[in-house]
Amino acid sequence: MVGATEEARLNQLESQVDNGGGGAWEYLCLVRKLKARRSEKVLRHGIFILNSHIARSKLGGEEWTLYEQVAVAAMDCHRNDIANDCIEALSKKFPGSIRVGRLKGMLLEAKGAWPDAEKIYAQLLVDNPLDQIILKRKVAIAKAQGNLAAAVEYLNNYLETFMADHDAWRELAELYISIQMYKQAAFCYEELILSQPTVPLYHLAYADVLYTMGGLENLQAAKKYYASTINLTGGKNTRALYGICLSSVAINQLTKGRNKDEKDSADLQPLAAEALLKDYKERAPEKLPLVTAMLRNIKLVS
Amino acid sequence: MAEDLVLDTAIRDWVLVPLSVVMVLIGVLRYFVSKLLRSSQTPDAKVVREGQLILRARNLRAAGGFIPVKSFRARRFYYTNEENGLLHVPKGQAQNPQAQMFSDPNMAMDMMKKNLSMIIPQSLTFAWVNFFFSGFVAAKLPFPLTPRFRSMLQNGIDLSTVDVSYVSGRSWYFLNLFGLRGLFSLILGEENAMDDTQRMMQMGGGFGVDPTKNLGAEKDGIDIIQHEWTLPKMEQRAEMVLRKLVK
Amino acid sequence: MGVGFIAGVLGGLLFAHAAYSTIQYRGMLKIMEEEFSGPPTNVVIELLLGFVLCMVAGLAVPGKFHSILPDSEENRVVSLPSNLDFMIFNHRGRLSPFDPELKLKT
Repeated sequence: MVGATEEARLNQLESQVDNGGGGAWEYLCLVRKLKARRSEKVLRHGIFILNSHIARSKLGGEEWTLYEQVAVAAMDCHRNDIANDCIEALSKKFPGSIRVGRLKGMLLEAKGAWPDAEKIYAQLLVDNPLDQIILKRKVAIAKAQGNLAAAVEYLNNYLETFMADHDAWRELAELYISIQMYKQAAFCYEELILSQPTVPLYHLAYADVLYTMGGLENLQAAKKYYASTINLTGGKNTRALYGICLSSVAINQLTKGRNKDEKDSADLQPLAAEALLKDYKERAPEKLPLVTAMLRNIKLVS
Repeated sequence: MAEDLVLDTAIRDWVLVPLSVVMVLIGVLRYFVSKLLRSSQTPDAKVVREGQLILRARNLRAAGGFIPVKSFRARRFYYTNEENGLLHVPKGQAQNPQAQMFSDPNMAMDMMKKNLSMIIPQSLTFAWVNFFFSGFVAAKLPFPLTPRFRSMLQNGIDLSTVDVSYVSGRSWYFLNLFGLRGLFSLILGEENAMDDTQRMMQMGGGFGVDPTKNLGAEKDGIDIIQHEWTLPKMEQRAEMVLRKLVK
Repeated sequence: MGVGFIAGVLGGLLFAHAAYSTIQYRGMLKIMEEEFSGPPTNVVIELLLGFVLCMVAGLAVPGKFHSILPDSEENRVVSLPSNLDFMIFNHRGRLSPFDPELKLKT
């Protein structure tokens, strides 16, 4: 989970490093800790550290972590030659390591040699049949080839055993959404909410799925989950505010005015609209007319 | 004792310091030996699955109020139904860990290795200390103590007249044995330091707990809980939050 | 540090002084052959003061308090970590190769 303070710190460090202010290693550590995917920056600054002898020797044992990080970033930027160099350095240091084997497989993936990558992973799985990351890579291979159905199947198999792995549940939910199986996606998001009930983004995503499915009951539930997102973020999540507006409009359309049990939260939608306008006024005043017009269209503000 | 005992400096040079050094070295040696003997065990898929299942069921129990009633009921049925619920363990299938241990020779072997790496050096050093260093005063503590500590600090000296702040050789050994944990955590890194008292406790409860029992307990827990959807309350709260924000 | 630490030191000193004066008081009682019924009031006040000071130090010195509100800046989750385990490389980055100058020197 990336908190607001942490994200601000990351961005601040990034601009500092970009402008030559130092702190590259700290930045790389933070990227690793927050699991952010900023491959270009990581590649540029990581290589800078690896190429300078003094900076590298200062890291001590962490040097190899950096090699791994840079290798993955290089693959993400399609600089397979750099990734190859990094992996070679690593395999010289740790021959026979499963982690290096994994990197080799990933390099093959980056080159698009799917069968070869799968072969490497299969070999690694013989020794440790329960290596979670390799099992996940198999899902990723299927996904990268565009074979989403197979990816879903692999992931389901994986979740049979590792059913408390919420990252995998999240991936499964996203896969289901991309093949428009919303009911299944909703199940995954329920699972995520169960495992981490205080993360507002899961509530938000669940509400989105419910809203997409439509139907009065789902819309009402969606509105409730948007409300809980607002609750958990202190009303600072724009998407949740929009969600409240849209779902209450949709509910009104369905019930056609005979709203029976919605009396207790009748104030919520005008408040959300107001908060939305206020937010835009503060952060993007030039777009305020657009939002006002939109909200006027759906008759939330006059 | 009116006047102080004067200890020979040779005692310091040939008993106190060597004993401590030897204890530290033995601790380090034992750490490496046990690391060498420890077989890297690959976890069994079924065990992993059960662990994860329990985690997931626990999540349901803790945060069940956050999902709609329908979803909650579906999950509860999925976990606890009597035919093929995930948490339902058919009678008779529950095996007892003792039998499991005998059926799996690796497990018994592991235990033996663990015990060997602990008992052998310990008994050897004790014999060595007992032979060379028992029966005389090896050190003096800089502070006075009550006579209750006599049995702890003057093991091997049967004199009731010696002041309690004098420590006998054998007691110095025991003090080292139990007190070097902090030093080991400095030398070997935080998590590697295991002092002997901990080891002994582990030996007692070393047999794995029966996982099926855990499953059963979790099942009962899920059966009991009442579902109460917390989300309707959230709307009012969100209203309050927004009102504060808009103001 | 700073004020909290000084308060802690002061509290410790007060405790030490309280202990010392109690011992002295008992010694005096022994000389005057009176029963010890309780510590004198000024010692009790000293103890209370020391307690408050140590409490302040204990709360202030070790670190800052973290917020427990879900919507505070520290805790508000703004984005999920990218799911790096499932990262795929078959994306549009292939078409715009990255700075060919960059090289790993070995």
